Amino acid sequence: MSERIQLPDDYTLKVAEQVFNALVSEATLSASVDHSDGGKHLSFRRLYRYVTDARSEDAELEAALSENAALRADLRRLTAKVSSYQISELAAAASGLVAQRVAPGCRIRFEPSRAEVAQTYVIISLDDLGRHPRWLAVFVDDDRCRRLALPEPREGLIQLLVDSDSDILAALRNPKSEIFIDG
Amino acid sequence: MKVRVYVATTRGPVQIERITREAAPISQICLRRTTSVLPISTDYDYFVRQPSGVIERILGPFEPGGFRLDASDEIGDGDSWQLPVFIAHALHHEGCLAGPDEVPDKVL
Repeated sequence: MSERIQLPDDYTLKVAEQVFNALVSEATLSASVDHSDGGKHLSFRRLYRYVTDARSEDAELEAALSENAALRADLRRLTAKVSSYQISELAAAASGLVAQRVAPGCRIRFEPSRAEVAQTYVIISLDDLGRHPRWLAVFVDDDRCRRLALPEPREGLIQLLVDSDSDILAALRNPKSEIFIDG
Repeated sequence: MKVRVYVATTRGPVQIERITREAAPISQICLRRTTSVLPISTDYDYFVRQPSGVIERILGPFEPGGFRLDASDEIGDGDSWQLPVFIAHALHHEGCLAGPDEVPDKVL
């Protein structure tokens, strides 16, 4: 005698699949990053929070990042995965500070302040006016990451004011840097 | 004639130190000439920019860009800043807004 099993309907199967995927993602994020990091257990969840909450501070993680090139590379790969816009390094011929950085759907330009010569505007233009990016991360060739929390866009424009000699501006205008923006 | 304009806030008078037309498109209020942008800047941009903004509509046209207004201290929520800021823009338009280092003929 066989037992008759009631199979779930398509909707229930779809929900079950989503729950399973969420649990797998949760387990992946919770797993320690497998590097020799001095015994510290740094999870992908922590790296993810560091990338996606540019206002957050994590001195322990930053110390680990400064010492561990593999961890920095992981951070860069994770940032690339979760970002919506990616502005790649410029061609090898480019040198010096660039006036703008461009990617499909996104452009960053730099305008010196007329009021304060030591300050510069960073202006991000988005083709999709419905997007609301919350963070920007820029990596230079040693995988070191600089982060910026982004204010709310106005009609597709995001404007920041930074010191002209700041690390973040130097990185953004460095033709060898790679810029990631979420969306 | 130079006129100094203050915004009355609950924490005391805040001087409008300077207004500058910038190439950057979004108008902002900065704190004491630093890169610190006040949260009220979003409302200020609406107050300035056409079609809703009265500054560009009444005092314009201006070259492309936005305004940077430097304030001597924080300006919180509310709309009470609008009248003194409008007056400051009108004075700036006429070259009569006193800077922080100038001796004003009048104070508003």
